[in-house]
Amino acid sequence: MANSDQTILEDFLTVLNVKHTKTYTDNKFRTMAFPTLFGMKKALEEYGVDSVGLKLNNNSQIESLPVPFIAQTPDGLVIVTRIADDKVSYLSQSVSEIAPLPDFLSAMTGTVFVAFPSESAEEPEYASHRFSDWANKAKNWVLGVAVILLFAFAFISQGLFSHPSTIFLTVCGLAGVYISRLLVLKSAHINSQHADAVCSVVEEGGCDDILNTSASKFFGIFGWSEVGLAYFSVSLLCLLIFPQYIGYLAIYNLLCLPFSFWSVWYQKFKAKAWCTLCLCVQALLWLSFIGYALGGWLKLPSSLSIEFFVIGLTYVTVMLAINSIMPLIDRNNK
Amino acid sequence: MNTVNENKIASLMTKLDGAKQLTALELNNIRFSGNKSAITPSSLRASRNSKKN
Repeated sequence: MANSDQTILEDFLTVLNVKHTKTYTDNKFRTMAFPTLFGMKKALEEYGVDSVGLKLNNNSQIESLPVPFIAQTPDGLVIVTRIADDKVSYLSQSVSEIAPLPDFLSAMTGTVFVAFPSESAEEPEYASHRFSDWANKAKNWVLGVAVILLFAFAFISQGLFSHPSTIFLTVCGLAGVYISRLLVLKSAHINSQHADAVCSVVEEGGCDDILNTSASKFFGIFGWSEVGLAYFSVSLLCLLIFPQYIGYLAIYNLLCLPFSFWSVWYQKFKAKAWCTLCLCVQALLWLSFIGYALGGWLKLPSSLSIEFFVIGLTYVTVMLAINSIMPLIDRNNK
Repeated sequence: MNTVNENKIASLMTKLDGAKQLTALELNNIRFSGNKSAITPSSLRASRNSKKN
């Protein structure tokens, strides 16, 4: 599968054995004034790599070129890493491929880009950028461990482990947050290998088909993926921090169930495409309902306290917050 | 560009009979494609066949 996180600049520097960091190189690529081979030439000069573009008289001349080099094909640029035994090894979108030499020679346009790294070629301020990259990774690890420890503390101290239904509801909540997050990433056109892997289970490309329709938003403003993420994250947090309001969470879950009928009807009869992630969200809504019902938490109260409305307001607030962030992260807006 | 690399390029050009160095303008006309899918050997074959046609 193509690694869309990896740029051609990063791939090229890697095969040239030029020391670089992902963050700096990615940023360099994305902020290139000219997203062309000329821009690549200028960027490489900063790393101490000279380069030249050539138009070959005869494509078979590539066997005389020093590898690695970039070759132009009608579908785009590839990085040739080896030519031997009548085969061409190349990288395309960070994927290693091998093609028969005659096929490659016939397909390429004859334009190549050859690089010459100097002895001391490396990313400017490489050591400092490497430390920053390491520090950012460490920061994410610390954040991850802190979240897990806080979750474990809340789960244990609130006694959620003592009742099978609350364990089940916690698992549903975690799964709901995970799946909703993948849906939000898809809606924001952010590539995610996990999202693509789950989406292809029922129907290849089904998620994209649904998320690109007007039905993926209500009132044309709020994406259902944002609503889902707000619902599951607030429900999970409320369960962990204020488990005494589990009855109110059950009522809100009940109120969300009709949406699942509309979602399945829309996918089957209107869009005629199945969105695996959307179906997973519906399944988790129903599994949560089963958890609330079997746990005896689904009781319609004679009156509702102010906390019921505070929980409702929290759902709305989180949904609005996610909705306001979406334009900032949507890749189609960049 | 340093002298070592200039000599390497000069040596390469003598090996590549008839090859032409691209100007900055010509390099700037070669854009990175927005294609997110890898170019597979079968797509290379398809490109070759469409060139023949």
